[in-house]
Amino acid sequence: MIIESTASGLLGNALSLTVLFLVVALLAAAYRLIAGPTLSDRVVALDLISMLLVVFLVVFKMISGVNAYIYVAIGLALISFLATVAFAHYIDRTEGDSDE
Amino acid sequence: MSDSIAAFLFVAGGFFCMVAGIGLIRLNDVFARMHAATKAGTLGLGLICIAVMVKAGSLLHVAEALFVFLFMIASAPVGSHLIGRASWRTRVPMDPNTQIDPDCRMFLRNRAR
Amino acid sequence: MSLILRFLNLLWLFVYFLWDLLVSSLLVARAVLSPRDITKPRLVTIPLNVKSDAGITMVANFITLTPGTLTVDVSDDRSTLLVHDLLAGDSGDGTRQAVREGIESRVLKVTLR
Repeated sequence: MIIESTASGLLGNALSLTVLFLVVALLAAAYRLIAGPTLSDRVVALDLISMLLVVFLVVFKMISGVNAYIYVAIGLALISFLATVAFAHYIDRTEGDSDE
Repeated sequence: MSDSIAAFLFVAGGFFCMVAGIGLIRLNDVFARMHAATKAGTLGLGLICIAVMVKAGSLLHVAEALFVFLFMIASAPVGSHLIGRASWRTRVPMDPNTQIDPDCRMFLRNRAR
Repeated sequence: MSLILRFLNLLWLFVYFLWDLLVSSLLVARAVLSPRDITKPRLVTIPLNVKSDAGITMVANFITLTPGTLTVDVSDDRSTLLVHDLLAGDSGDGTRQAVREGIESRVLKVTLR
């Protein structure tokens, strides 16, 4: 299925620019996820990536005109919060006993 | 009219998301990076949700976008507080320029070892 | 009657909070995008007047999304917050005063304790 943009003109250009910004942000977060010196840096990067995916889904709902994408965004937001909580516990557990 | 308002809000929201991403690269330690990711990211999502609300066709669609925004506002600070507390307690290295108030000593015993 | 007043205070708190979120994101954007490193990180302790669990949670979450600050830890007796300030000056007094007058007094009006 080919998804065609329902928005054109000014709004279409604005949406294209927004997606460009989001891709830059995703690349920056991915760099931090790979290079981050500590586990906490990686978790912060992962948190931002999941938030950016929620933003991207909301924007994509607008681009495609398919309203169902916003339900995906809601579900992803719920799950990414749980992931952050779990990772925070993981940092607490591991790095406390790892050194020395 | 609503098109241009929504266009402006979309671009502004995307810009703040980009600031969050660049902040993750440019800032010095975990805590400073969390400032960028949490604040700029939440505002970016908020502006984009408001833009979607401006262009929404029905009240249900407005409510859905509002729900995404409210949930992120409620969950983002909690998540970042948990990561910050875990990093503080496990002695993640900080920016050497960080000044520490003398009465922060009482929190030091929470740290591992 | 007082219930309505509390609800209005809650609504006003929310509007104030959105404004703070905008200001803090702009400050973070300036810190991220300026070519020099203008951050002055500092760890500050903030004694709390709020006693209830809901009040502490609200204050801690709002601090995370207001200008320059991020909650790191709560002391064991729940009387003090440890806050990371990205753009602090040479002392933590300004941060303490801003939190006390800006956020905490408004939260107290809602939770009454």
